[in-house]
Amino acid sequence: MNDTTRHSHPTNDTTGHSHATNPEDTTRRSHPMRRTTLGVLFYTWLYGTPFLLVVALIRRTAKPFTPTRAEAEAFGAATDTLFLLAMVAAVVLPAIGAVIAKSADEPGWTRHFVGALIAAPLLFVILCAAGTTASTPVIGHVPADLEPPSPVHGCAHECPGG
Amino acid sequence: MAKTFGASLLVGVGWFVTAVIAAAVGEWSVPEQPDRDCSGFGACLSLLDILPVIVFVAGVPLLLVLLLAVTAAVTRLKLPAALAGTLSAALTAAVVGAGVALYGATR
Repeated sequence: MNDTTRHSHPTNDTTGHSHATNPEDTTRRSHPMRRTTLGVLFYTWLYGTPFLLVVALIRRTAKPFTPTRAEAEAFGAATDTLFLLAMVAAVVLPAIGAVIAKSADEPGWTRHFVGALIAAPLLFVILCAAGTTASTPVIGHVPADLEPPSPVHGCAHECPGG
Repeated sequence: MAKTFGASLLVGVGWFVTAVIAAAVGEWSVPEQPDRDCSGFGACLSLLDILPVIVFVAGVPLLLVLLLAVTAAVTRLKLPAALAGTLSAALTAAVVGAGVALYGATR
């Protein structure tokens, strides 16, 4: 679309975010590298958080074969970790990206990350919607195990055999 | 424009790829009972087993609807690729989901 300008500034205008560029400005040299970093960060957020959420939701709704209580608790704990990781990543990744993009003077990527921060609550809405359909809490759920219920310690009136 | 279109389509396809991989990883990470009665037809089929069939059957209609949605999002709304692709994927999932629901209701 702009062959003449691309010829004079080969590092600029690769993503379509056109902004005023100054060829004498030496800080613009590292743009391709910086842009790649910001792109990786953005798409890690875009696909990574839904990925974690889907994996966690599948684990949460599944009926796993966990014969011992320890296995069931480990399964539940791993699922909780995935949920928490998704929620933290949903907010932290765009926040980091927005700060980097702002300091690197990348208005296009800054808009992307600010948009990501605005979209992050969607994840929490989905989690809350999932929570209303479940009878037990979404986070902190432990699947069933095959161990007999633990014996009650302490006797009601008096213990047999003294 | 063409560049934005290709990138938007890629973002939209990326959503479905992410969903399929996440479903596969999620199912794979759930331990199954080792000694199940699998004598009945399809008694022991998990999502992991039928996922290739789902992808094969749903792939072409999903891509077609996605193509239309991306075209609309890019040419009409002039959105950035990430947003256009994401909205297109959401719209495609909604349209195909509604289609499946309609098909289920009529038969």
